[in-house]
Amino acid sequence: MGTLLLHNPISMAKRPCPSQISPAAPPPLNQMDELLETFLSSSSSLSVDLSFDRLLESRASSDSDQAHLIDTAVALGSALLHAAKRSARKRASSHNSLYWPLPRELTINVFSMLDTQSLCYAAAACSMFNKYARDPPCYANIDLTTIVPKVNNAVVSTMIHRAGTSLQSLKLGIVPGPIVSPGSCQPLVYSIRNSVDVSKFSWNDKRSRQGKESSILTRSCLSPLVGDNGAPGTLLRRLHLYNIERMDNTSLCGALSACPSLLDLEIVGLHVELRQTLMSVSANCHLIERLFFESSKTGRDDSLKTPTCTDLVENCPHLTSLALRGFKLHDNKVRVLVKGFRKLRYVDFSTSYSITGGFLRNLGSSMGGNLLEVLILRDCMHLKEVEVARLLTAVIEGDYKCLKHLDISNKEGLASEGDWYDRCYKSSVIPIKQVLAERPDVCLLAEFPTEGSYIDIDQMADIVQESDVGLPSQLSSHISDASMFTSSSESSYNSDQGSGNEDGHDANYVMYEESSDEVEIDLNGGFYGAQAEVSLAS
Amino acid sequence: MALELKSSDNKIFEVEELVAVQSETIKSLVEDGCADNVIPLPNVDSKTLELVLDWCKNHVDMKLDEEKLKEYEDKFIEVDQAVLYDLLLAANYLNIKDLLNRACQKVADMLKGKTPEQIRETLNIVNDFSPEEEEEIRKENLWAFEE
Repeated sequence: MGTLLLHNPISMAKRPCPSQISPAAPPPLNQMDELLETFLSSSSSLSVDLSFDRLLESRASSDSDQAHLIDTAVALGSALLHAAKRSARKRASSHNSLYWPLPRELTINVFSMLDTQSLCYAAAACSMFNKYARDPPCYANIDLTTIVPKVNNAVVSTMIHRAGTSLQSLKLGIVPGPIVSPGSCQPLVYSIRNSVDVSKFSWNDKRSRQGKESSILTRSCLSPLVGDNGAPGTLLRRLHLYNIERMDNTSLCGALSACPSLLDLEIVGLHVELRQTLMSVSANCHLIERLFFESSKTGRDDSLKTPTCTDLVENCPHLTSLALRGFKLHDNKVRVLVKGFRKLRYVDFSTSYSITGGFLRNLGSSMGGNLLEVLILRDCMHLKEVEVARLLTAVIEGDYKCLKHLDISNKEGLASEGDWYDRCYKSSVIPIKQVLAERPDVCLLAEFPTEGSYIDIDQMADIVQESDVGLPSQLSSHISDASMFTSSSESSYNSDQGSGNEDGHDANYVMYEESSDEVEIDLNGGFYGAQAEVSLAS
Repeated sequence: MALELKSSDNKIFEVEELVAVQSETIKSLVEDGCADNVIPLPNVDSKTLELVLDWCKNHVDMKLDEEKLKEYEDKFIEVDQAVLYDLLLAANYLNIKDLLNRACQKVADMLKGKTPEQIRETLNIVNDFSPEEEEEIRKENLWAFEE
C-alpha cells in the first residue's frame, strides 16, 4: 500500500483537481530513496511544520491547489507513519525473539503452569507469546477460578477446545481469595462460609440487574466434557469446582460419567447431594485417588448411606486422600470408609456433624488405620472427649504407626459423654502431654477455647516446634474469648436441628430420606442412645 | 565412584556418580559406558553448573526429609531472572526433571496476576502489535480483559 501511494500521489487527492495541475510522473524509485533520505536527515518536526505553512501560503491564489497540497501531505504523511510503525513493530519482534531466553517448548511449559487469565495476558504481551500461547499444551491445566463471577459457559467451552488432547486438569468457579493448598484445613472452611455469603449477595444483585446474567456459569458449564468418542472428559485427571451456584446433581453426575480417568476431584460449595455424587464417583471414576468435598449446606446434608460407602470402597480402591467437610456423618458409615480404603493416608472430616469419634475404635492397628498419616477432626461438634481420649491412648501405645498429623481442635470444646450440650474445655482424661512424649513424630493440634483451655498459646508453639511437622499446620487464632461461646454455641447447636427444610433456593436439591430406615450397626449401646436424644431434642 | 564434568568455560567439577546421575543426560552416558573421561558440558557455564550440582547433592542428602527439602528448594530458587533462566536451560539440557519443573514454576509465578504491560516490563519485552491486532486479541478473550 505504501508503494502505491508513492507512485500515485495524485490518485489519493480527495477532490479531483481541474486542468490547472498536470499530474506529474511519479519519480523513479531510487530518486524517491534519495529524496526521502534527504528529507529525513535534514528535517525536524518544526521545520517541516513551518515549511508546509509557507508552501501553502505560496499557493494561496489557488484554493484547489491548497486543497490538493493538504490532501497529498495527509496521504504521504500517513504512508510514512504507517511504514515507520510497521518497521518499529518488526524491530520489536526481533528484539523479543533475540532477548527472550527460553525456546518455544520451555515457554509453553511455563505457560501451562499459568492460570488461564494470566495466560491470556501473556498472549497479549507480544506476537511471539501470542503464537506460543496457541499451542494446546498451554491449556493442559485450565484454571478459570476467579474471585468475582466473570467466566461463563462459553469461556469454559473455548478453553477446553483449545486444550484439545492435552487437557489434564480443570478448575472452575468462585474462590474468594487465593486457593490454599490442601494441607491446611482452616481457610477453606471459612472461605466457604464467606463465599456462600458472597454468592447470595451476587445472586440478589443479578436478579436486580437483568441482562448481566452473561457472567454466570450455569448447570451445563461442564457439558463440553461430555460427548461421543474421544470427548475431552476422558482425558481429565483433575476436576475442581467451587461455589458454582447453578450446578445440580444431574449435571455433575453427567460430567463425572464422562471422566473415567479422574484422579483428583474437589467439590466445594456446590448444591449437590453427597450420596448421589459419591455414587457417581463409584460408578465412573475407578482410578480416583483424592476426594475433597465441602458441603454447601453446613451439616444438613445427611444423605450418606452405608451401601454408598461400601460401593465406594469396593469400586475405588486407589483412594489415598478423603475429605468430607460440613456433612452429617455417622460413625458406622465413616468406619466403612476409613476401614475399607486400603491405601488411605489422609483423612479430613472437619466441621462434620454427628460423628462422635467412635468410628476410630480399634482402627489403628488394623487395615484401615495402618497407613493413616493425617487425621483431621477439627470443629466436629459431636466429637466426644471420651473417644478422643481413646484415640490418643491408642496413639501412645503405638497404633497408627504412620501418623504424622492429628488435629482434634474445636472452637466449642469437645462433647461430654452424657449430653453433648455439655462442652468440655478442660479434660483430665485426654493425655496430650503423653502423646507428645511417646510419639514425638506426631504433630498434634488441640486448640480449644481459652477459658478453661489446657493448651495455651505458648504451649501450642512448643507442640509445633517439638514434633516433626509433617504438614504445613496452620496455627489458627481461633482461641477466642469463652464468653463469646455461650451465645454462639446456642446457634451452632440449633443449626444441627434443621433437616433440609430451609430456604430451598435451589429447586433441584433433592430431599434425602431419614436415616432411621437403615439397620445400624450398634458399636456401643450407650452411644446410639445419646444420638437418638440429640435428634429428638429440637 | 566419582565423575568429572567440564563446564563451557573449561572448569572441571568432580562429583559423586550418585549425585550426577540425577541428570538423566549424564545417567545415559554412564550407562552407555561413555563416562570414563571428563564429560564436557558445553551448554552450561561453571556458575550455573555449580548451582545445579548443589541442587543434585542436596536432593540426594535430603531425600527422606520432605520438609527440609522443600525449604531448601524454596530458598534455592530465589535468584535473579538471568540466573533463573540459566538454571532452567541447564536443567533442560541435563534433563533434571524436578529442577526444570521448579524453575518453570518460578517463572510462571513471576507472571501470575500481571497485566500484559506488567508482563512486558518484567520480562523486558516490547509490544509489537498494531492497534488492530491488539483489538483482535482483546476480543478473543474478552472475559479476561473486561472489568
